[in-house]
Amino acid sequence: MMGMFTPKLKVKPIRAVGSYGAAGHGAPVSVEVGGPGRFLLVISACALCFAVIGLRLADIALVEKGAGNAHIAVADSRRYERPDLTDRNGNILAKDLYSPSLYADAGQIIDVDEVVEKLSPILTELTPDDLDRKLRRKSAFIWLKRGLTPKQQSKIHALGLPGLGFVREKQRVYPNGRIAAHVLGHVNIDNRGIAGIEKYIDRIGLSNNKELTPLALSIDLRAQHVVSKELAAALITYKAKAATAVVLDVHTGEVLALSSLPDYDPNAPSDALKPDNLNRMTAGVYELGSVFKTFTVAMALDEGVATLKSRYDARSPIRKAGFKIDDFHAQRRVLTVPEVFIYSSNIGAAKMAEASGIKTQKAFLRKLGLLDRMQTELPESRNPLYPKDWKPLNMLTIAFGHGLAVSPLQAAAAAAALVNGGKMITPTFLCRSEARALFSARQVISPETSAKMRYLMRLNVTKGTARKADVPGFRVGGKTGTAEKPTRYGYSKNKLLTSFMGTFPADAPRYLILVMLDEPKGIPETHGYATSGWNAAPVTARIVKRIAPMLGVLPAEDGEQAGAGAGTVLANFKQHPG
Amino acid sequence: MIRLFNAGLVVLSLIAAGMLYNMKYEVQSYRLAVRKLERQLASEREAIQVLQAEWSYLNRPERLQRLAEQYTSLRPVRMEQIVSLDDLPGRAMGPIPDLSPAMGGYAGLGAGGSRIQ
Repeated sequence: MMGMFTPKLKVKPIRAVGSYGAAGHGAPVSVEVGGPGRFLLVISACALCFAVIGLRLADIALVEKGAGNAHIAVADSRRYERPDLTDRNGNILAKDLYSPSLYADAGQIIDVDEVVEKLSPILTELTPDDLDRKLRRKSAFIWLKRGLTPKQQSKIHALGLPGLGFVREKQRVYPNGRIAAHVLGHVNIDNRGIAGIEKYIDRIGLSNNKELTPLALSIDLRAQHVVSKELAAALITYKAKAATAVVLDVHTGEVLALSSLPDYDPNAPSDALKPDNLNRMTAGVYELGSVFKTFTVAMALDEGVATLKSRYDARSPIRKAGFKIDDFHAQRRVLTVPEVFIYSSNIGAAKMAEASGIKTQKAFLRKLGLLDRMQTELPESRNPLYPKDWKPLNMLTIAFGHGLAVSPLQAAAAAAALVNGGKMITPTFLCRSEARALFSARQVISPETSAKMRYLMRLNVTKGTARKADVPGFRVGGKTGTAEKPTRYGYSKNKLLTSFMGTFPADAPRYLILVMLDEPKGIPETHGYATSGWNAAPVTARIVKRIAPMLGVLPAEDGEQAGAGAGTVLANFKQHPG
Repeated sequence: MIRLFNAGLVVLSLIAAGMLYNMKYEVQSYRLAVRKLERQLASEREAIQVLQAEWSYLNRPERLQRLAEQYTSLRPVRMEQIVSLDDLPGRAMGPIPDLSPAMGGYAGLGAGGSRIQ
């Protein structure tokens, strides 16, 4: 608006200057000739000045500068912001919610004793001594309590004490509680992931950036629930110390459910550090026992050392280097390969390994990833344990699962390769398509051997040690394993580790399930037996019975039910084994 | 003449100033409204987050199972309850029969299910 006055006010003095100049030169004509040039120059300079001033005024008047929420931003950024975690169907597994935290500014507090007296009934988690010690620190910013409940906040607010303030902070919430604790992991007080997938997403930079898109895990919440509940029930029924189970998609390597008991609540992760609460599925290594015969038989068949018709003399125990290898379900006769498998003959498995040789055995187990640490998204993992010097005796015992300790997940991944057509796929906890899984898959055994393994595993459930794993219609196939736990004084006779490694539907496997129980006891219902066929196998059946319909496995004609025996099952395979 | 022109300019500038003044305050009130809406949006978004968490907390499979066992007759699906399209009887020819409620029932009790039982 100043600009409006420019012509009127300024024109006159400029003319005056012009006429002085003209007078000085003593030539009035020059006003006409020399004047307009200077006149224009001066007037435009002045106009420019006024334009600048005018623009600045307009700027101040029109454009409002934000006062800035700098201090709030600082207070908010103390904690990590994390993306939501969901299961494969979009159910929320973990979420960031705002919650108020209480801080104190010591300089503004008038009477520490009064503050302590008034606050301690509200902050019941802190002792008055703690509170007192915190407040006596001469600091302008003291955390008193992170993550208040809304009730606590309103009570403290109502006290109206000077020197206390609230900061809104993100806090991680796990609505499903302990159900998938070992997969999700947990966060520390600053909302940073310190275990499980939470740690993984920090490592790859998915948290604390602008776009927090929800991350879908491979977990199926319903299957996860069933596995957790059945495992918890098994822990009580069989009086076991611990238990773990996993369900894998054999074609994509996706982990649909993983449970390890005892577990903890990620909402209150202080229990997570107890050594007993480790993730047994990935971070524990165990000698799994007879389930390893699956690998030994697959090796012998795939390397051409044996066919399904090969026979092994199991009439007498093997004696080697002062050890005796004998059978638990001793048949005392010559056994064919399927018989070695379904009667779980240690002698037969040892002889198969012997026929293959140490080098072949080692190479085969390495191919299946059983001799190296398995790397998944979960940071919790452990190296397998095996003898540095792989002696002939080790070869024989490893054939039936003693002397090589691996993580159960590792064994499950290797077993998935045996039944899915021979493709070794590293398990993942994130959603993955079959095409992407195939991209990184390695062919470890031939499709023909894989078909034979499916036949053997199904046969073991219909005729062998794993009959209690059968679920009519869903065609479970699998292998039991009962291992004596190694102690300081050799293998313990009454501390057992039982496991079941199964697949369903066995004619065209889609899922692999591994259940492991630590020190189950014999109970009246099992006639005092504590071996795998009496606990791990029926637990597997209970899980499969509930999750197979959820996962869209259709029940089908079962050869066994029609009374046709294993021959019908065999006929269902595209590639006829043998 | 020039005087009149200048006077006109003065009047014009006064009007412009007045309008600017008005507009500025109008803009300011709009800005306040926008800020209020933004705050409202943020708190709505936050409420959605809280409700989502609450929803998934209430939909815990554990709780649903407990409630289903307590208040409904729903149980885990049995194999007999699943039939394939081939197991369904063919479409009736002729006049459409009267579908009385008595014909309803579980798939497991139909022709497909009895095969297995």
